[in-house]
Amino acid sequence: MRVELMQGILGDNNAAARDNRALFDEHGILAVDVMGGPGCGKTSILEQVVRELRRRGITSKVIEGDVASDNDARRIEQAGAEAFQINTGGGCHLHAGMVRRALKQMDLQNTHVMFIENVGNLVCPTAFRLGAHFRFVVASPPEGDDKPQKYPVAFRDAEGIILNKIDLLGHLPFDAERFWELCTELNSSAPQFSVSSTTGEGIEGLCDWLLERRSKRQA
Amino acid sequence: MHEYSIAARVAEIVRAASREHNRRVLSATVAVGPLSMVVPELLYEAWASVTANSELAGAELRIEHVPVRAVCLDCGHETESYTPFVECASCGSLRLKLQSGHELDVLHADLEDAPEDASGDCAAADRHRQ
Repeated sequence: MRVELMQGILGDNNAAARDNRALFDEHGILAVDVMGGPGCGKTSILEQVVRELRRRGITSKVIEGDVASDNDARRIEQAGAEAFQINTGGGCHLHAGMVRRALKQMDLQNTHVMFIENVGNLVCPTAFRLGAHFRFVVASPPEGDDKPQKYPVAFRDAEGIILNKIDLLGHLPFDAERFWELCTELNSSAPQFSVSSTTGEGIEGLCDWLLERRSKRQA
Repeated sequence: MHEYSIAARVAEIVRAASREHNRRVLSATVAVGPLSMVVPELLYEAWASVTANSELAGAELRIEHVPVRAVCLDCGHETESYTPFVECASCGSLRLKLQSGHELDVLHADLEDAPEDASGDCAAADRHRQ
């Protein structure tokens, strides 16, 4: 006996993602999901960004996804933003239900921007939307300029692409022009940002863009 | 390795169907597009693992592979690919409009024909034993 089911396997995840989006919208929060391989500098970028936003009077908060440890949440708190650490305990990605549980435990009043830093991985997180308004993918010169070609789904599905550690350009055999060409070919609509989480170069421009998006959503 | 969470969700969906019809699950069929980044071998392994020692033990997982269909924005050629690494088969461009390939759905479950009648089965087993 055959039972037709036609059910999306990610249906539960997508429903939770819709709940999260509704919660963000209800509180006027711009939510940004940050994805990238381990060590590309996701947390370092966020440290710089939350500091810069704070200078501008903008309150941002961060949900940190890691397999283990609360190191990243502590770094974000040091930078002056509230952080909530999710430990997946072996899981290679966040799913929307985990974010929903985190949001329930956070104070969403007086929050302007919420960053969700995914587990370092360019494969598994692509399938699980979390309800954020934008998904950023981060790469860096030590990883090689062909990264977009090797992880096309991550780069194609992103709503923003960040090349971090540009202070290392010139020290490594990384062709930034080739990297951005591949990004443009895969995803011409995603804005491109070159930043250094060490020197802070490009962070202001990234924050300008985020705040512009935030005011557009509220208009 | 998101295959475990996917296998667990498939198990939940077919378990619900099994309970509703009160019949054992013989197989579950899922549609998988390459852009879901699911590795079939890992999904089979995950399925065996999440169903072991449960009412779904022994149920087979069947995967129907759905191709990526993409139209080239440079030359208009339509390309089909069964891997996530898709480029235009005609001109090699990566500027593509994707029309399918993200699929991740449970299509159907095949259940045992005879309903599981607990009391009947026990009675039959009892008669056997005597």
